[in-house]
Amino acid sequence: MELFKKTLLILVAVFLFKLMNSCCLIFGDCCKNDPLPTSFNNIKISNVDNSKEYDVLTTSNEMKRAAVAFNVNVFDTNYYNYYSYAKSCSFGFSQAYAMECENPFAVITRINCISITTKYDINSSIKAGEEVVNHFVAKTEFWSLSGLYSTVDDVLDNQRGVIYEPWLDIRFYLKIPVENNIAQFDFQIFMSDGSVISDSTNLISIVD
Amino acid sequence: MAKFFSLLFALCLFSYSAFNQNVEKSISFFVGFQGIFCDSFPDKSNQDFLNYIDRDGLSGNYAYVGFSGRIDIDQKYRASLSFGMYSDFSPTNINLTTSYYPFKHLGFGASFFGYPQYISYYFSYFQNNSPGMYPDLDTNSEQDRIYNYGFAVGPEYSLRTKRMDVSLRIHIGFRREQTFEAMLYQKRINSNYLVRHRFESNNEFVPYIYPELEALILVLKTETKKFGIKFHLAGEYTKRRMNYTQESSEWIENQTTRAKVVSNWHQYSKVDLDLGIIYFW
Repeated sequence: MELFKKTLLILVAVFLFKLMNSCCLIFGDCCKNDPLPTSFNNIKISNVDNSKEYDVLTTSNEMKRAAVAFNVNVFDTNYYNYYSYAKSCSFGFSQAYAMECENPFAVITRINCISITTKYDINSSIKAGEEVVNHFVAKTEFWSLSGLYSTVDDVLDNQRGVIYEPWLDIRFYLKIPVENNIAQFDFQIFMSDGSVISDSTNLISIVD
Repeated sequence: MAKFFSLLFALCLFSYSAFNQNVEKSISFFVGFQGIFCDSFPDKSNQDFLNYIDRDGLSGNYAYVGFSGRIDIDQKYRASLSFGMYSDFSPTNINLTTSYYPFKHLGFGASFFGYPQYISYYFSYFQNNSPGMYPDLDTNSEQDRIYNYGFAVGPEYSLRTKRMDVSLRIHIGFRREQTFEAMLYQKRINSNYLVRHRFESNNEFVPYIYPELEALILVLKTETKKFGIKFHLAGEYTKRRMNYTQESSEWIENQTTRAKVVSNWHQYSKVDLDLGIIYFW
């Protein structure tokens, strides 16, 4: 009985220590996570339906002539490793308080510039193979009233040093209507470490 | 700012009255309603915001309760201050008057008013005037409050009997409203084209007439206390317009054009009618 009591006491002490370690003190800073380094090294391009009031991602390869838009997701393929690292660093129970701590990421490799070339003629003056990035505007926030577009240069200038997901979504919107019946674009992203990430959009059927 | 000066004014008067024997003070509680009348014109090539102010006539949607205080010194100087509260119980309907009576019945005075006013659904103009566009990307209903204020001076007439004190004043002055700002996003159907319109009113002082009738009727009198009924009727008559600057940005922030829009003159009037109980000492 005495042994049982001592064992129980030790277990309770360990339990309480772990519990205290999991709690957020009332006046304490609950989220002290140091930013984890992240470097974008991959890209995924999705189609965007911007023909209605608000833009939404779509799997359709049809777009309206004046509503050609793409979502470019630049991400770090190693981010699962970062999450497991962040999780392994905490001792105790999972955080029990209502507030959820975000894992900040420090962007090490930034986007220097973006090149977009068209694979097909857009109209009689913009031919296949030409650089068309200046005919696009961009956004990084997509809620319903997130404001006007920005130039691609402004979006790149406003990259934040610390982000809360190890990826970045940029939406590109073509300002001019496509006169051709098909469209496809090559995206090349030049990173600050000299690497280049590139991908192409799907072949888009242009409809009226 | 108006509240600050009103309170400062009240403090000065009460301080003065504390050292003066021939002072009659009164305080009243009242309930009342406001009627607003304003011309509405068909929208032409431009938005006219005054078409969208809440003008309910005498339907009583602008009902209020309030308190007022009044001081008479030597039956020559008079000042009153009242705060009316609408459904939000915020004392925003303010009236301040001061008077000087060099003659028994005739005098002159100055007044200040301030009151808020709702402007609602003011972008409904664009529902019918934006062909090929989604007229308003913000699906929330629009309602804002604009604050009106004015200063006036003019002659007054006062009739005092043992049981009744009636005052009539007709003041003339200048009024305006605070700056009104609004923002509208529109998008072309089947297109990436996006435009943002910013509206900012360019307000101006316009003349107005402020007639006011106040009757205090003594109902109950003891050795030290007097109670009565207060009846108050005040109006505001003017012509208003709300000119504005429209700033339209297409696609991005710095592709902006500005236009100054001159709106129609609207015949505008407001009536305040309230009834309350009053205590004199």
